Amino acid sequence: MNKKNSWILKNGRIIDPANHIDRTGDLWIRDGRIVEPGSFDPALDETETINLKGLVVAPGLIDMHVHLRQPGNTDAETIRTGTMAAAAGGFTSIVAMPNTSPCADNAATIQYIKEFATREGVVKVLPSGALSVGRKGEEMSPVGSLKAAGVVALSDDGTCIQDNELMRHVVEYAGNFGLPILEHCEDKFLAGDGVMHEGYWSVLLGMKAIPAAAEEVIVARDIILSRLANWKIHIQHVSSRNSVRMIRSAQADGVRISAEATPHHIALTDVEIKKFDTNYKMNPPLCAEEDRMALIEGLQDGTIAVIATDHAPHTQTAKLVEFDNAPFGIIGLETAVPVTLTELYHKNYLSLSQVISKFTVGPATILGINAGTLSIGAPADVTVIDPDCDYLIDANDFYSKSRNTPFNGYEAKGRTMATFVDGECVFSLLKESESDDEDAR
Amino acid sequence: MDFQWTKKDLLSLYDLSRDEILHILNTAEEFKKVSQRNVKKVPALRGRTVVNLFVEPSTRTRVSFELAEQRLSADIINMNADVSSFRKGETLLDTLKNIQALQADIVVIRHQATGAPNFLARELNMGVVNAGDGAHSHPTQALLDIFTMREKKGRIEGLNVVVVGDILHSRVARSNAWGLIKLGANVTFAGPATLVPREFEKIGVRVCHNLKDALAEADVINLLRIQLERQQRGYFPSLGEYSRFFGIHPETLRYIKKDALIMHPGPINRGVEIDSAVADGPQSVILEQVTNGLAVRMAVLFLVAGALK
Amino acid sequence: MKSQLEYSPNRRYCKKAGLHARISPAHGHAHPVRPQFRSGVAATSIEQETTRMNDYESEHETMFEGDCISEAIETISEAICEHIANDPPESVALIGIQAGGVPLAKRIARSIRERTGREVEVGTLDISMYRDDIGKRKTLPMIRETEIPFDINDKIIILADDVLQSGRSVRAALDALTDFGRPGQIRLAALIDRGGREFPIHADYVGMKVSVGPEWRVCMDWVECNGTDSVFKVKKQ
Repeated sequence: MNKKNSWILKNGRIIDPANHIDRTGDLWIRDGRIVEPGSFDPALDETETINLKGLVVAPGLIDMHVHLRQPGNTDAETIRTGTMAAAAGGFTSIVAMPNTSPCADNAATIQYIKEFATREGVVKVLPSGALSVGRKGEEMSPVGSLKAAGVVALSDDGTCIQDNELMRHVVEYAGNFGLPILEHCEDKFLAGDGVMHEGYWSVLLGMKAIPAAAEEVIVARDIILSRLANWKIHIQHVSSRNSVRMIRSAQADGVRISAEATPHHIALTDVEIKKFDTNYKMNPPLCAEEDRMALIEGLQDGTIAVIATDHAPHTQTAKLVEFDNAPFGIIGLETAVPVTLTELYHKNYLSLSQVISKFTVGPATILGINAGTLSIGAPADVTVIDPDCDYLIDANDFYSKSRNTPFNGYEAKGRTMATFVDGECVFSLLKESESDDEDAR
Repeated sequence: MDFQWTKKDLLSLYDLSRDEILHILNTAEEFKKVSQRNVKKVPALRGRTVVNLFVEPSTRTRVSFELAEQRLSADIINMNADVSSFRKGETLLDTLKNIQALQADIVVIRHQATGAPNFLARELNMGVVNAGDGAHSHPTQALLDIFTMREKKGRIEGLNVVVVGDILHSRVARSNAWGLIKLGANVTFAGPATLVPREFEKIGVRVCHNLKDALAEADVINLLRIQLERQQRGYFPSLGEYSRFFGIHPETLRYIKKDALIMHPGPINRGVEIDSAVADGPQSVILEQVTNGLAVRMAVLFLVAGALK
Repeated sequence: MKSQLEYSPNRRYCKKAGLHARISPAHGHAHPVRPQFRSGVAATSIEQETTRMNDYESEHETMFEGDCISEAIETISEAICEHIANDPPESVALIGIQAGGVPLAKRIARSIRERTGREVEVGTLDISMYRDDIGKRKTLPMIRETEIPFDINDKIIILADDVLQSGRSVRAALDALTDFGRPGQIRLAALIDRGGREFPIHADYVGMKVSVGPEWRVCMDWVECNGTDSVFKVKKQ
């Protein structure tokens, strides 16, 4: 594929949940923007035409929770490889978490990230800033300065402010600057040095465990503070059924609380830990089947409006140790679409449009960004998906530098076929012969 | 038909079938006789190298394995908790890969990280024998406990076995449960509510927080050591209180069966989980457990060696 | 000749004085419940090496049955009786090598009793722990019972094995036996000698000699365990 930014995508199934569209048709892109079909002459403007033959055309997917590791831990991932992985996964915008080294708690680091992303990034990188200096949970970070530097949200992801008074001030102050808070909910003391979910399996295996209460206690705290400060708090990687219940009732009450779930929490449970494979170790840990089903119900009724990957690369050296000693986290950019389509769409829990909304209008609304739609005039961030093809996931093909995934060998149904950012094709599995110039005339 | 042992590792009784467990016990019976002869050695593992890797320190288990290896005529490499390569930052896997390159055949490993033996078994060609990992599994201890029970009581099926103590953090308790349940015993876990979670009922164990109820019909009482650290983390108020409500005293002997066996994996905390009088008394088989441990470990090493290629 | 072995005061002994290969359990001599634990295999089971199970899938030809075998045993016992006629009673004992040698030893003892009224003690010996091929075979043979309820020091021990071929099993039996004590003499009785020695081992008493090609394995079934007496050959895989 060439570097053009004018396209005609013919015969696609256009699904745009933001505009309530789900129909077959053509999508016209000119100079990196979505335009009215027929509004220009393709022959005159050197436009590439592709016959999608029924593949799904969706707004470019957004992942609100990605660890790019740069600056600091470039052995595991860089901005370049991370954004390539994003493109291969179908994501056109990703929110980068601030637990880099140095921490993204100051304008200079944000500048660095933005420059690197512009120069080497393949998709749009939206930086987030830390809530507290160094993510230590002691002092508020320079929120205004971070906003000026261009962050789209604030997060201490990886850790959690334990001091409730500090958290209250941060929420109020962030509200002033219109920055949503992305919260990793974990009470440090309840979690202790646990490595898996506290339940039947942790008792049987004799592993140190993290009770669901460690997440729930902070979810409750955040609901209360969100109500108090009347500001947006977004709960990252919800895992417990009781958290979902609390969030649902808070939303019914009008509290500005939102939530996201990861593909791995939707697909897997803690029974996997008996293999002692560190590719199943993450925080929050995989929970019980009842929790997994509660997440799916939360996705169905809209309590959970977002699916985000928490893409957390680690080198093989780091992960190839005893389970207790391995770092938490797995990658997810390149497995999100196949896994969620297989687990949610093909198992008839959600419609295709609903699944896509979790990656588009859902995150865009919370972040307040101009993305996640195929409206006329919007930037041409487009993802082409084949929802029915068989795809045997092979981690060796990944663009990410890391390989720490539990889905190697997973038999998925559905995958991303092409990704366009501002009208430029950054990833494509479509064969050249799909293009059909004769049809275009 | 002859039973065929095919596993190059012994990681947990959870992974073994009933027949495999019985096979180990039957093999151990013959090895017990070896220790009673004048020449206590057999050449079965001659030419094989066994590495004892005790990352979590231990004296009794290590000595037991070492003696078993000597009596099988194996060559031994001892690597203990203060192994310098770990301090220099070498990972466990690299340490073992180096040893494998030196053609060691079997590693006996004790490690505080649960799943460490499983991890090694997956990555190495060597035979891996678990001498205790975290709070998860201690298969040779359970095997020698079961061997002792069978020798004294003549059966396991239908036997009432009660394990008392800090079940939550105990690999001995878990391994005992797996082995005994597979052989048809009735297993009870007894101890304070903070240390004996009801979750175990889902695998078929009776959970009891009252000692007298638990011990009423017991044929075998297996006591676990209470570690002082547990008490400091707030699981129960004091050792004195533990001893009063869950320790075995001469008074306890009055209401339990006269022929009930008293067992303990050692080392004993005299005066905490067990009184001296009971530990040294006629119902105690604690010292025989040690003798049987040697036979069981010889059997395990013999079988694992035979399955190596 | 006095035994050179040390006696440990803590060791438990059977009623008979001296060093014994078998220790009586705390409840008494016999261990009545033991057989039920051996996963269905009784102490006198004589199934051959585990590789034999694979051999059943290949060609299988009976060579001798019933009476031939009894006659062969009589040949052996007659030779033994002649040989030990002048040896004092209780100076001779039979030890059957597990698994095929055990019924052989018992039948030889019975035959000797019928001929001369003499009681010859019988023991069993498992050689699995002394094999030279542990880990080199596809499977590990099961360890069967070793029970030598008498003192072997200074005795004439007649080892009994059903089929003698390479001599390696006998070599292992010699190693095992000498770990129990110091016999005065060790002799070998083999029901079938099929040749093919790999070690300089010689049978003192032979029931019958057979000659088969190297592609065949010669095996035996015994009435005591398989329901029938038969010598047969199977093609090696």
